Amino acid sequence: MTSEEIAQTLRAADLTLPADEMKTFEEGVAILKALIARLDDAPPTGSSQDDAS
Amino acid sequence: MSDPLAYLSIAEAAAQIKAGTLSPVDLTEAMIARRGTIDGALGSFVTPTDEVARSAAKAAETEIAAGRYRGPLHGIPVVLKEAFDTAGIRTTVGSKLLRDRVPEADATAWARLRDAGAVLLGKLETTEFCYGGPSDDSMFAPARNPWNAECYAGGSSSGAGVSLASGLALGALGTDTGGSIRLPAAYCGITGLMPSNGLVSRAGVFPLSATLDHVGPMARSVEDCAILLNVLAGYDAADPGSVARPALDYTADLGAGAKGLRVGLAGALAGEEAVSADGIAAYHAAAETYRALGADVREVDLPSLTDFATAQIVITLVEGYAIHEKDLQARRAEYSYHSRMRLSLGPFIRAVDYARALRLRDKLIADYNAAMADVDVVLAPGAPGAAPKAAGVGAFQFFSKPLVTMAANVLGVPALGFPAGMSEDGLPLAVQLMSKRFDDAVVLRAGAAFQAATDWHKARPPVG
Repeated sequence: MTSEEIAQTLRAADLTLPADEMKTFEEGVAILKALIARLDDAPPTGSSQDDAS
Repeated sequence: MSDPLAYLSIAEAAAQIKAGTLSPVDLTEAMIARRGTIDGALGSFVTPTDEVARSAAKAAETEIAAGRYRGPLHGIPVVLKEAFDTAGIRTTVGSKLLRDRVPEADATAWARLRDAGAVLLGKLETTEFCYGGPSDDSMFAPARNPWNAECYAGGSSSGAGVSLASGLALGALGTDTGGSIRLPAAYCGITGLMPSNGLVSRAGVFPLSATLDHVGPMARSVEDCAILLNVLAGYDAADPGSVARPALDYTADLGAGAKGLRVGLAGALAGEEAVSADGIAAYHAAAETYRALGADVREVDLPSLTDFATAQIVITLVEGYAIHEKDLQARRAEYSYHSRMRLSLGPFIRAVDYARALRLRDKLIADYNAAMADVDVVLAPGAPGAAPKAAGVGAFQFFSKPLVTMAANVLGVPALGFPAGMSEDGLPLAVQLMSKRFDDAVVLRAGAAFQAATDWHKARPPVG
């Protein structure tokens, strides 16, 4: 995400970050988005928690 | 370590109290006095409850003298992470937002200990909302690691790890959403159990993630954790995730040893990208200990740590943000730096991402259950390594470097963390054991076998 896209998402959520925290926050967004990209490949399965033995 | 009562185990103290050779009042006073001497430098207690403790200890002594002994927690001084509600006692969850919050009722887990006769010494420092920290701008300063004050004590049950390692209580309650019982246990050199999902009630505990939150015991030995779990385990209608299970004596198999036990080595959770070299060495040494004890030690094929971390981080952020959205919008400045940075990631996760994370969790559980068909327990490193310097823990460190503890939360299986070595710098190193859901007795048996054969859990920090 670009800095502007991150700012837009924050505004849409009614969240405000001070300017001196934005650089670190953008790094956090990048890490999160890299993890989320892995979810695209997760195959569908049924629920198994109730069956955990 | 001049105080002879400081490092009594629950089992030892209970035997002496039952026999009438140790007074709960004397034990409680010794703990209170010790806290006054050394906790100023550690900061593990945020709300001591001296008069509550004295009253409970006196009542216990009177009851026991009258022949009404309740069991091995009767008259035992314990402490609570400040996420557990306690009627009439301030509970801030480490946050300025809740600085004046005084619950009207006890959390179920504490009520169970209270009814068993335990004595509450006080409430302990937690990283804010069980997710922040270590932040100097929290409601309370982070508790300091008794092995090295510059090092992180682990989170979020920081105060519990510090107080137990320092001989300020005999047992504690912590919570664990991604490692918050096992990380402070590892960094402070104590023992902590995250029980199976649904086994111990979370009612009256401030939530972070309804899917991944767990409540569990912390102590200085596996045996003491088992004693605490005997009282904690049980169905509670007040917790929607609670599961009715047959009552068990979790101390019953502690002496069964490790001979014949099938111990799986979780190589997928022990990669160099997630665990330090000395942490991996301690893990391999623990495996050798199990081989020497007659266990059948073999490799087990588990999913990658990154998959577990992805599910844990996405689920926790969404569910945590759902709790904090309104306050983040209206009272952002009152959150500590680490909390507000992490929780503000919530809006960056779409509904489909959350659904996919839950689906990934289902798959990980299925894969794990298949892998566990051939083993009784899985051995893994207990932390990324020895305690890091507190000043170096960044806002997103455990996002970029996933925690080995996260797997058990995603799986909902029991995970027991305990000391298994010492770094060159003199800091504790730890391993953890996981098993199948509701096989808590199995990890306790395996952990007790390790502690019967080693002395790592008996190492004490230089706190006097």
